[in-house]
Amino acid sequence: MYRLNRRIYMISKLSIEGFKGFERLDIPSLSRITLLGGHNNVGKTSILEALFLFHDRLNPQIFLRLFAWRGVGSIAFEPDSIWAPIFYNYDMDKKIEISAMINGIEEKMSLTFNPHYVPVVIPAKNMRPGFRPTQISTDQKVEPSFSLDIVYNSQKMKNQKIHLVIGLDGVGIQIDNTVIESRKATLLGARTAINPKEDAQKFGQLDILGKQDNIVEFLKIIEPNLKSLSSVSMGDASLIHGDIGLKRKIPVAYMGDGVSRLLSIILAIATTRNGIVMIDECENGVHYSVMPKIWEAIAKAAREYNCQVICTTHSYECLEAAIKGLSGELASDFSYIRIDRSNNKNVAKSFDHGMLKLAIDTNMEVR
Amino acid sequence: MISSKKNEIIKKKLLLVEGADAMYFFIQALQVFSVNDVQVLDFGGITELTAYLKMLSNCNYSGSLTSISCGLI
Repeated sequence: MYRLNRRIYMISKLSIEGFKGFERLDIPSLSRITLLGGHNNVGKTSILEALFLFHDRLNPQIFLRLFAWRGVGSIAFEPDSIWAPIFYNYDMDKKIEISAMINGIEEKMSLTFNPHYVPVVIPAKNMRPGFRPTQISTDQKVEPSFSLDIVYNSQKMKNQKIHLVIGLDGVGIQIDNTVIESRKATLLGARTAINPKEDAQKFGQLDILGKQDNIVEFLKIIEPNLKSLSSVSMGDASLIHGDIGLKRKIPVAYMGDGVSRLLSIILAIATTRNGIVMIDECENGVHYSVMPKIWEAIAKAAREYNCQVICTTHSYECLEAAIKGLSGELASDFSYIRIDRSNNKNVAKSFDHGMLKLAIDTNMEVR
Repeated sequence: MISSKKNEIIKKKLLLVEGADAMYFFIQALQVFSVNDVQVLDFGGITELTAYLKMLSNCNYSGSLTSISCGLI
């Protein structure tokens, strides 16, 4: 069941320049399962955000989502509030560059602030959704706007140009030229609570394709009594219920945080086939005793669905659990990257499974 | 009571020794001779020394190491 797919989408190297707290950070090696650690404020979550931005650049909501993941409910509608926070030292005169080595080929994205962006569309009068405008003023002028200009070079196409625009009507996107990449990305934020409705939707997508039994097999790793899962309509929403041998099925949320958390993670991986899943503070809501089995399930699901999984942690117990849970052939899928800041420079130190095990066995501090 | 405190490199001079007995011997010896700028760490077995040194280079340290020595008893 746990196949190692030959066609692997894998980011093996990552460089971030001018983004948030990183003047420059080079991560020379990433694995199928990569765990990022380090002190508070060293930039672990920022790395996940850079990766998500790299993949979700066609989404005009992307910057709003970055705020939402950090627990910020609303912000002022101006470039200084929406975009300046992603620039190193809040300096929007500088460029952000994110480059990734994907299957041996470098893909690169740069972002620059453009305070003089000229929209290519002049709005007509009396616009109604779904209706073609009937008039346009002859003295209509194009109002300059603000944009974040994205230039993307991928394997499929060089010099793709996209503009994220702040205009009078809101945040939008203007595409000069691009190709639609098929790579998916999902981020499970540290502050984002488990969302049973969203999980039920994802489960429904798999159920339609007849793939729901796979999910049961992964959850059995921590709940051996689980026989089946089904999505049950409860009012205006659906909740996933499980059969654990009781007289009736019960909501997965009642089986404990470990099962709920693992279900969310496995559903994220299963619906991000051939893509990348990022999990911030993966140990949240999980008792240390089940963490090794959580890791085992994540690694097997990543192989099954051909996913790369990048997680962050603060927890030494999480590192110990990864060593314990990712044994045998799963060990080669894993690496730990410690992000350090010294002399105002960001440095990434890489540990494979054996090196991290040695560090833990000798009681070394590696967070 | 098992200490949860983890080892960090906190001094500029490091003395690597093999085994707990050697570690406690050198800690006591350094205290007796009032040597305060050397930290003693147990690297486990001699067959692991190379891997241990590589791992050590990735670990936390405040300030810069100026010397690493190996102690045997």
